[in-house]
Amino acid sequence: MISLLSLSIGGLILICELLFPGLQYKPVPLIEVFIDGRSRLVITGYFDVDYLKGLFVRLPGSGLLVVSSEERVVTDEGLIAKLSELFTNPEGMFGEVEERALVEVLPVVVSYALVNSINSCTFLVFIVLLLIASHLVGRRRMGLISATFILAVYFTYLLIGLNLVRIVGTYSVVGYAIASLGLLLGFITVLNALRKGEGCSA
Amino acid sequence: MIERAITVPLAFLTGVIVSITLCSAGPYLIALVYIGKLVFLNSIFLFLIYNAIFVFPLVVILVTMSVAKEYVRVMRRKRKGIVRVLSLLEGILLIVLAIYLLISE
Repeated sequence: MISLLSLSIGGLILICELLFPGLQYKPVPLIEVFIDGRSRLVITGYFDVDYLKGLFVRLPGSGLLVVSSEERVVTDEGLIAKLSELFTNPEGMFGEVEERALVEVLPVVVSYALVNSINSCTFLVFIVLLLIASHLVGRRRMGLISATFILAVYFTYLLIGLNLVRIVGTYSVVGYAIASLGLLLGFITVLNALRKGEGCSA
Repeated sequence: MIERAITVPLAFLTGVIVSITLCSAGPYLIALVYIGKLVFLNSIFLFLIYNAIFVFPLVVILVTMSVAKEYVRVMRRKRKGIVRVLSLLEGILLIVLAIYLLISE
């Protein structure tokens, strides 16, 4: 039995998904305050001391106060219980998976893969890169370059999975460079199409 | 000049850098937790499947683009008008996607 990734990372991500669904960047630092064994306050981000002290004074009578860029109160007891469990024992949440067979994990993993494949930055970068390549080089070369890109993504993700490569987690200059080049070529293509009746020839 | 700059090693490097830095990794990290609990061989199997699904749309787009490009090449000889509209659409698509890529972060 080999565990491939530090489980607390998964726990942290799950907490973020529960508290801040759809958020692209994971909120750090993330602090949960327990009072009398009950989860009462979740704080993410940096605040000054007086503000934080004030939070304890005006803590709501029940529920969980979540402080990020805004304040809101979570009253769903099930959610609070799940969060408490995740904060105190991040690995416990996934513990039951251990006994499961491959066929039971497969649907979960496949659905994550589907969501990830359609809604991803890699997807966008690829399309922009492909459109750029289609303008600048021949059809065969475009295929070769795109296939290389896909293979690179495939193997890098595989290595990340095997915990051989760490995710840097910041937006790269490469993304901006490709987007800028795409913008430039897009304008040239449109202008050419309007003037001469054909885009950048390739 | 730019034609020569787009090379296979560069495309590979781009793929690697995009994979280790871009934001697409959230669902993958959660899936890893599930996969990590399995027996090693099974987890390898699931990694292969996950990544195959992950890159599948890219392959579909690539094939579609290849076919479309061949089609445009044939059409170009016959009718200039259609090519003009297609180029215009392609240029606009490129601009919209590039802007989206810039602002989505």
